[in-house]
Amino acid sequence: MNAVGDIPATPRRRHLGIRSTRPGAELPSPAGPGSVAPATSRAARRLVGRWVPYALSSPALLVLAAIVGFPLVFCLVVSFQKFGGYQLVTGGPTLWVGFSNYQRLFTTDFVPVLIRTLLFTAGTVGMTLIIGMGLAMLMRRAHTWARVLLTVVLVIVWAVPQVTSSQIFIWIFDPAYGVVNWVLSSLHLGSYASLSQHQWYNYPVSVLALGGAIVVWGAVPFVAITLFAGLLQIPEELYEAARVDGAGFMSQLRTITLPLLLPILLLLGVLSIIWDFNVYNQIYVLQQVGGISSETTTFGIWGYNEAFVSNNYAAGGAVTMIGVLLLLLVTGAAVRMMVRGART
Amino acid sequence: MKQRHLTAAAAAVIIAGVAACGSTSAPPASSSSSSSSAGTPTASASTAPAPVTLEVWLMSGSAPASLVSAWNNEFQQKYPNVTVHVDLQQWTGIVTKTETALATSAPPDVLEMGNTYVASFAATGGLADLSSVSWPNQSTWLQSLQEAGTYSSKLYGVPYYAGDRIAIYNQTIFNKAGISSPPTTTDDLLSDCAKIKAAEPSGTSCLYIPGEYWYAMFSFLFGESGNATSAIATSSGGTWSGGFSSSADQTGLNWVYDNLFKTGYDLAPATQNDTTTTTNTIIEKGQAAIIVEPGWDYGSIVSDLQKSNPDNVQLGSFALPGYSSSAPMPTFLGGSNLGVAAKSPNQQYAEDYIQLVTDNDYESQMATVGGVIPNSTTLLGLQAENPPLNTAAQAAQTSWFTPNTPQEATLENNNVYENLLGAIFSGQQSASAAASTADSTIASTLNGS
Repeated sequence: MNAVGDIPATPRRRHLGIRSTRPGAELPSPAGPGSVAPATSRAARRLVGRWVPYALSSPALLVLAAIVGFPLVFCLVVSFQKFGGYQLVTGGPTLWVGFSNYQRLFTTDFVPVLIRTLLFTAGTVGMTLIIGMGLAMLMRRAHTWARVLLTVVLVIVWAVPQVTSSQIFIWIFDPAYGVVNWVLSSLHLGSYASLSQHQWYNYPVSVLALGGAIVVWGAVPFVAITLFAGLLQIPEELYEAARVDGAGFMSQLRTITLPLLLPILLLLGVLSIIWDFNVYNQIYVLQQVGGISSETTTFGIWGYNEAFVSNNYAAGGAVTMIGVLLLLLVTGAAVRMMVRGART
Repeated sequence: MKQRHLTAAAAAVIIAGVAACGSTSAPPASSSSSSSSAGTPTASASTAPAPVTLEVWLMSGSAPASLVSAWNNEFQQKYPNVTVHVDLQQWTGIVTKTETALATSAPPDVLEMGNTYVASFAATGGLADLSSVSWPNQSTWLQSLQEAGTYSSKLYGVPYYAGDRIAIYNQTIFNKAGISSPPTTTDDLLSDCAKIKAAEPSGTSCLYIPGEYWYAMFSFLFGESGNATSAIATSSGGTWSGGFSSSADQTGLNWVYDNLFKTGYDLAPATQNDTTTTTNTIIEKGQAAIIVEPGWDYGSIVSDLQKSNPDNVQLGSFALPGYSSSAPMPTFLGGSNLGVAAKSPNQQYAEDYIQLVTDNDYESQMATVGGVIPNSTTLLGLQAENPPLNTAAQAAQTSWFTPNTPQEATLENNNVYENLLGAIFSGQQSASAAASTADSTIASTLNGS
């Protein structure tokens, strides 16, 4: 950790050093025609040096401005207008409506959707990190062949498109023909004869739990493989020393593994929060199958419904802006923790 | 800036379209100045017209493929420079897809629209006004399709075909339970279901209607006396109000919950809408005695049965019985209209294509080959020889339709009807509680607040 912390400090010290020695460096320069050239070339180099970082990062910044910046600004502008199908098709008159789009959202669905989304996100992010961590630790201890097998399986899971995995989960939980109901009825866990089987889609909680399971299933591979890579960076000697001192599994986890993996865990946590808060595909596919969709709508679905189902692009933009602000609060705090963690 | 460009472009297209509408004769033949100014590829009568691709969006499952290729061939023989490209669309998510496509600079030229969606597409300004064209059979169009295709007293959707839902039943199960004739009242229906339940293994559905299948379920609401037009919503003085809290609707909703779901006669998932393939599989497997499906599905169920189970299951059809024997339950008259995109550069070809598709010849084949109700009352007699179509025509005598307003599509796409029915029939909410939620959503959506 200390090695990481030194990195930002080093250039700062060097920078200060240059500034303090600069007057001294120019003093011994002898008068004459030859002295001008090195001075200007140094100045030119300084000028170029100042612009090189911008020049090098500008292609990436331009691309980001085009694909992230522009839509975000457009969303923001539109969210204060009346902008529906008519305006989209005809480009019709611009009507500024102030905060009325936001006002309607806050007085209708905002609170239930937010609570539902927060619970959903907490559940899926928590499960993803716990299962991912467990798999990563298992891979570190497992035989090579088991590790390779597990890695291959994880990569395959990762490669399955979300809509495909959602559809497969839907078939597994199909009320009439699903394998879950078949297993439950084979085990005589209740009445599951033919058509009168358990209806998983009747209850918003079980629909969201199923959606959460699909999300976690798809998210675990990335987390597990990343954490496994992180675990490989922890020197085995630390564990040996801890074992010599009599530390058990839990105290090794608490005092070595988790603190050393904290930056990676924070990063994965932030990414997972962003992804799961905005989750769309899995819930959308489930809602197409059934259930009471007004009780299973999360933030991502809400924004889509406002914009593209109700053709109220202004309201969709407003939902997006609210989501961006909420995620900025969460991720801002997490990023600050990460930066602080890197400094100490 | 950008919007001004769009406005200018839209205005140019609309002006061009209006100019092109000046002549209703076939575009290559009409060498009038209006068609050349409209940018149609008939710059002069002497040179061969430039090649054109006519992009046509048809809905999956509407017209039989053989019929589509027949009229495409005829159209391309008439206009050798035109290539017709048909894109079959799925119903899921079609509203979003269509509205987005209409907003682009290269929309489909001809598009089939579900009759409940025409108003919302027309309201965006994305459809061409077709009022000034004379259409085949225009004076005898089915009234409900014509109304669905009209917005602000202008025609935006040419009636294409209609269809309604009929009860399709398994005669083998009926015979086994000792039932000799289809029910004609709901009381008959319930006593038949009691017999079927006693004769069949547990888990067999008598009347399989998924709870959120509002095309079928709302018939039980519109069938209540005095409720023929007001079950979903009513408009007075330009203000809409939802109708589900009315005593007639409440009676109907509770009737279905008490008599179909609590009794176990239905057994379909309470919180799912209908999936035609699943439902057809269920009746083919003998897991349900009666299903409610579009009349044009009857043929495909029969042919599936003949492949898998040639001599076991005999099918029949009847109109869903009413609360009294005087009339069957009102049926949802679905269907499609054909429209032209306002931004299409090929207005003339598009109109001509629709004229060909909706002429007497092809409309008759839509009925006889496609199994749907044709767009003209003069063609309804074609169905007498075909028992399920005859049932469909009978059932269509009393029909219901969704509120004809652009925001209706929003209600449907936000699953307002599904959520209402699912909440009640799964037992999670009382009929009155779910209805008051739905009614307030309907009022706020239809009144545009």
